[in-house]
Amino acid sequence: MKIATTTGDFCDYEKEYDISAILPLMKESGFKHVDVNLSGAFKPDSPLCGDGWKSWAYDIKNTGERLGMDFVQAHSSDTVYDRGEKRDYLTSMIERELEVCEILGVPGMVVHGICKKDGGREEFMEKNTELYRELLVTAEKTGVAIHTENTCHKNAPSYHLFEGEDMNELVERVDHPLFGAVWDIGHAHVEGVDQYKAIMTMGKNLRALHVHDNFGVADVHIQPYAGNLCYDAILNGLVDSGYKGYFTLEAFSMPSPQTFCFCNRKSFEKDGRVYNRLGMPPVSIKIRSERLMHDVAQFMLEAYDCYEE
Amino acid sequence: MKIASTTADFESYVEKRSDVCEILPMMAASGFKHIDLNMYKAHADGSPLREDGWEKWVYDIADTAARLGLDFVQAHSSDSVYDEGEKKDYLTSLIKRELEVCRMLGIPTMTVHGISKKDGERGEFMERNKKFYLDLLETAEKTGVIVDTENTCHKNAPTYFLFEADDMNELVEKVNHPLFGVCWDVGHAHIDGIDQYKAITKLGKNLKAVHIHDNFGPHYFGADTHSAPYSGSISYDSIVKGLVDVGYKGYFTLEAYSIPMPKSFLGRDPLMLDGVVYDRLTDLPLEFKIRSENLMLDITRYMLASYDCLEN
Repeated sequence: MKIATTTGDFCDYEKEYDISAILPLMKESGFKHVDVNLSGAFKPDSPLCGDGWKSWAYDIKNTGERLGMDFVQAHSSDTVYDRGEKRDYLTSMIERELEVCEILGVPGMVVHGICKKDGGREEFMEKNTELYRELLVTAEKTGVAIHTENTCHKNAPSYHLFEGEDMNELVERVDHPLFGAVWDIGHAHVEGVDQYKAIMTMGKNLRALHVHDNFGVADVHIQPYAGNLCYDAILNGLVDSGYKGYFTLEAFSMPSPQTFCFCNRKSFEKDGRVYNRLGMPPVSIKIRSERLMHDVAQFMLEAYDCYEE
Repeated sequence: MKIASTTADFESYVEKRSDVCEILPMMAASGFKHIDLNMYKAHADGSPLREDGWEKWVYDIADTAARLGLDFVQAHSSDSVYDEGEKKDYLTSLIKRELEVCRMLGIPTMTVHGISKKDGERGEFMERNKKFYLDLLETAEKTGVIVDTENTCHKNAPTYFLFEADDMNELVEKVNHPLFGVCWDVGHAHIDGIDQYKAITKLGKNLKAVHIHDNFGPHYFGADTHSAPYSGSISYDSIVKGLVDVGYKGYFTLEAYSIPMPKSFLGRDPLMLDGVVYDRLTDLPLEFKIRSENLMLDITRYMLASYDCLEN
């Protein structure tokens, strides 16, 4: 199994979309396989909203090639529940992101499902079957697979993908070879799910992972071993189910970003003066921390004889 | 300001918590020079401090530290109990022995938690703790070691009425002894949503020691996870600026778990499958812990250097 991490790791050190600037930092941290974070692609300042988005994507591709890195996973932006102009626009952005994946050679992209407050389970399944089938038209053209993701009740109680069985049900309803599951082990930990059982239940439907830690209470996306997640259950499950995807970190090594919703590490004001010297330590510290996180992930895979470079 | 860390950092890498002579080389390898001696479990079965000949345990630690070029700058005592009686007398006598340990190791200051009882009231808490600390201060006078009381948060102990700086100052004034002061725990204060700058400047000269660690504060988690700095949401500008502005003379003492968070603290279960226990990943090898501690030390150095107050 190969280790990947997300370009979001350095989101407080470079502009979110300046992936060509982020890649050398990831490389220096020891990562070769990259999860491209496109979660904010719809924002007005995103290059994906402008005419030059293909040039932006090719620049990233060229940078990756120059550095000897490959793009193995992506995370899309979100769409919304209700149909209409906004939904059409956001869906078109995800379709564009699938094209970005095609340019970069990314084989699969995570796309969150849609839900509405207090929505029922059956309606959720039907609406998402419809959404994903719509997106899969572009997936077929690009050859990029789509992965739906589990959550936890604390994050989204009416997003009815919590257990391995829920994921399988949606995969079966969509019934498309390019549609599968990404298992977010941090969300599952908050939910208190039996991870081994869930991974075995999903079996071949499991195409990707989000690896991060927490204390089983809130989805704080901290690095492995900063919380109390049980990794033996995860690794045994991945090995026993014959998982073929990447071991993809979606975790904040320290420092967790100042701008992350759970952090919001504020500056300090006194006598009209703002003190923000300690909001984010320098990138040299972050690179060491990322390298440590990489090496810890490598230790985890080596302990189960499944590490690949 | 100099940086210290606690011997508790490596307690899960030795057979017994009291194996401080084995812990010290690990702390030295991590880059730490100044040590906070954790005696929190000195009352537990098997503790050398409960046995005759405890002095040898202390001298061995002193010799090991001297050989490694480390010094002891702070300590953390074991706890006592609220109710009077034999148990209280015994546990208090242990804390007095710990003060003697501090004297032998050259430790100037020891944190001693106050005593509280479920559903207790604030006035009674203050009176009972005044008596408790004055009793300990007789030994403190003999040893020359300062006793620091520590703040908590409502989630940890709602009837331990030391949350805000005003609470701490009130107890210090009641005790009214030159060897009695305050250890400000920034993690506990963060959970209670306290303005840290304001608290530190209010404590002023009463502030003798700090416990530095992180968590996600009152809004998202509210639990005292003792995570490494920058693993949570604490804003350090207000803390370091506060320490500088009050002319704090103590150490910047980490009481934080760098990765791996010890499985004995919040749990990290093995997998049981078909009668087989898989626990290859419940902890990380020592080399990772040392790297992680070294990184935590360097982050702390950056924090102090940013306010021109880093000393080695």
